[in-house]
Amino acid sequence: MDRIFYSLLSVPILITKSLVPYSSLGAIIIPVVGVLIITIILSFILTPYRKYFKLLIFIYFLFVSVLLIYQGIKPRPPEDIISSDLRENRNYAITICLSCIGIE
Amino acid sequence: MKKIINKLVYLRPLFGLAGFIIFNSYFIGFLKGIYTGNNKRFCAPFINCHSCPSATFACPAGLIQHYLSYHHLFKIWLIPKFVIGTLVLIALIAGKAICGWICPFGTIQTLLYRLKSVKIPLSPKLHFIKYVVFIGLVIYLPVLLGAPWFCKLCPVGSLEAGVPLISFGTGSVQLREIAGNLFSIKLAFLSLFLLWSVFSKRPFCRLFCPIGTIYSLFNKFSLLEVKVDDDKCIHCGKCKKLCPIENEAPLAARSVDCFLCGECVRICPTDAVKYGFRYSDLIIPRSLKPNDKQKPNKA
Repeated sequence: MDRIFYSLLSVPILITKSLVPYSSLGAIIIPVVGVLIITIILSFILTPYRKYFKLLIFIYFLFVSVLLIYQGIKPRPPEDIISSDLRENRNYAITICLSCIGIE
Repeated sequence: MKKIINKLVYLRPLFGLAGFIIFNSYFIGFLKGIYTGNNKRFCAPFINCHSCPSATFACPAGLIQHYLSYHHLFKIWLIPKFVIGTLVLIALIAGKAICGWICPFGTIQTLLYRLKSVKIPLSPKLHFIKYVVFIGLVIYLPVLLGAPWFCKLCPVGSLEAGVPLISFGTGSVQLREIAGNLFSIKLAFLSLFLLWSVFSKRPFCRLFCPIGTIYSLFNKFSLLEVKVDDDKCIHCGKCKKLCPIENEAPLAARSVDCFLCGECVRICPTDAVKYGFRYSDLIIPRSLKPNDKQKPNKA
């Protein structure tokens, strides 16, 4: 699954890797935004096929969202500062957020 | 079908109430303290403060800021993959229909606008503010300063968590003693938005909500859409009066800010506006649709 995830994003990663050092930022956000920008430009160039590009964007983000959810559910490597997204979500959400109440 | 949709749209506030009850069903929390069960691993699809004693799910805006406020030597900041994945998936399926139908704070604003008063339209030109708020308070300041800055100003947090926890419940006396200027500022923000909602349509949703902003980004690609038949539209302006973004259906439905609330579907006298699925034309060719009437030849 990881291979699919990274191969799906590999082309934009190759483009951006020289500019941005590898991190979770470089691995996800920049490729996603990069693909989006390229697709939007292409959709404007190829106006008659705009609806097909919309479908392409839809399918692409559907894949990305499912894989992001999968990545979130999966336990993170031991050296990572958080063990998994789900555990981290719960740990944060079961404590009262003082900012939300309005206490400095 | 049209009648059922019309009735559902008319009863839309009840869906908002249902949304509130589903995501805030731990009412005993007002006596025992906030819910700490496993449901809090998942987030609600709208802003719903998880510090509310009855909240059973986490707040997506709070989680995004929490992850971004992590600082690490090599990882500049962490991405809440699960939360973003969930929000993007919801956005791709339903677009901003979540805001239009089940968001409780949106429902409160809709109901407040029904009160008789002078009405002040909000210019669509101001909609860019929500992107500034999203980038500034939800992304930039948490990354830079390591604190959830949107939460510090969030009126939903004040309404669902601040006011109940400080007014009554366990530990309210201690909280009252340490509540300072920030609580007053948050209370002022809450009052401002509630009062503003009486005069303008959904000001918080249109100008400040970060979750609505994420949904806006995918509103033009979402499966669910409001379809407008330009040939049938007579530009009577009835939809503009009810539209939360104060636009005629042909413009509103094609906007990223459309709430997919269906008010234009309900009110349209010529049935020019309908709910539909965006890619149905691409998947099922138009010629194969059974209800399509063939247009007569001009010749």
